Amino acid sequence: MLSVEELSDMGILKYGLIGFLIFIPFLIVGQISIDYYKAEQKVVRYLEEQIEEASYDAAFAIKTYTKGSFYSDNVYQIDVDFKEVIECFNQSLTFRRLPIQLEDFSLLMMVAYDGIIAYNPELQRFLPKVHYINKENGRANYYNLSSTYLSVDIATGVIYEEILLDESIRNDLIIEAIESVLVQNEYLSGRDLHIEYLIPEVGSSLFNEGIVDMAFIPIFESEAIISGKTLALFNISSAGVMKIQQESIVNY
Amino acid sequence: MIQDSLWKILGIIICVVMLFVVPTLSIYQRQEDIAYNILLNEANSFSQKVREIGYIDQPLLNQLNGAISSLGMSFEVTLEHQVKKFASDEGEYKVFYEGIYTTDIYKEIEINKRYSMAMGDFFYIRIKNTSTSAYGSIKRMLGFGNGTFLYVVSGGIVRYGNS
Repeated sequence: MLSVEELSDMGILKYGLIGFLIFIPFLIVGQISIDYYKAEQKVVRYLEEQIEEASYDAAFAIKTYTKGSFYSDNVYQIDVDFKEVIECFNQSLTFRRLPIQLEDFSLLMMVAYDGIIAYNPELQRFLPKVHYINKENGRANYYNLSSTYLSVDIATGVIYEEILLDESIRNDLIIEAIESVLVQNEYLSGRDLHIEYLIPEVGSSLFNEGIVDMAFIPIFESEAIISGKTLALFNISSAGVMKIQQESIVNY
Repeated sequence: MIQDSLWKILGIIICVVMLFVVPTLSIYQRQEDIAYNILLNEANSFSQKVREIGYIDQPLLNQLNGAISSLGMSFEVTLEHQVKKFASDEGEYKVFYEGIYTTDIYKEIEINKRYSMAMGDFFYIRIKNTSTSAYGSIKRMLGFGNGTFLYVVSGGIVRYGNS
């Protein structure tokens, strides 16, 4: 075994140290990059969580700010004060003191009991409500977030209340309604929101996936907040006292 | 001869840094991440409970203080209650929010044993560290950074309470 003196005589210690000193800056730069990335991810996660919490608040507001119901245009309408719901979402964001305003959201969609209504913050207007309707065999079927639906005979105008046997029909109609809202928004605002999403999975004995409760869907993209990266968020947040965690995957 | 000694001293210094300082920094940094996660969980849990039951009482506060004091640092807890109120303006009702903060909330709990909120109000809890963590102290000692900053916010709409 060589002694330190013998090693240093050979210059191994000296040159080893020189090599290590050359290597140190790269180590430091790598460590700084990692720390920066971790800090950035922490901020992104924090923002996502806070927006999700604000969405839960808004979804709760959809459920509780119901004013009544009425029959109009051959459809049973559940009257919700959607303006209050948007205001509730806005207040929830404001009180969290986030660097986010309502105008940073491209579109806010509310999955209500009987249809989807969307609000464009940039244009400051609500889009027309899209109901969960399909027509077949001479009947117009009006679905909602319950286990029954109304079936109207188009010829006679007689209304029947039927039991929903297949949840997937309603889920498909909800997805169609979401697509329809996005198309309407594109027509009004001139902006196409390229969003891919998955309807969340729900743990239930009845079905495996679908929207089972009123929900608030914020579509959010922010470039200014996190140095050029976009935060495209499409979270379906359920309402109610029992918070159900549902997340969807977004590619924007 | 002197040159060899200087190289040896430099080698010893680098060894000490790599063997002791870097692992210590890494451990304390991880400890701080864990402390942040615990703080966030406690804040979320507290705000969820308060918003679901619609009130704050002393046992809830004691539970929160017990959990965060186990982290070995001192924290400042700020409670914020935004009360939803209505004002009429030319026949139209407008909504506004009035804030009630920590001192008044604690005073109410002392007097009435409980601080109640109404459904539709907003409640937030903010926790910030007031003492430096071990990681922050070492960073300051080594000359990079002014200590670390732990700050969590949690809250939202009150889902149950006096209507």
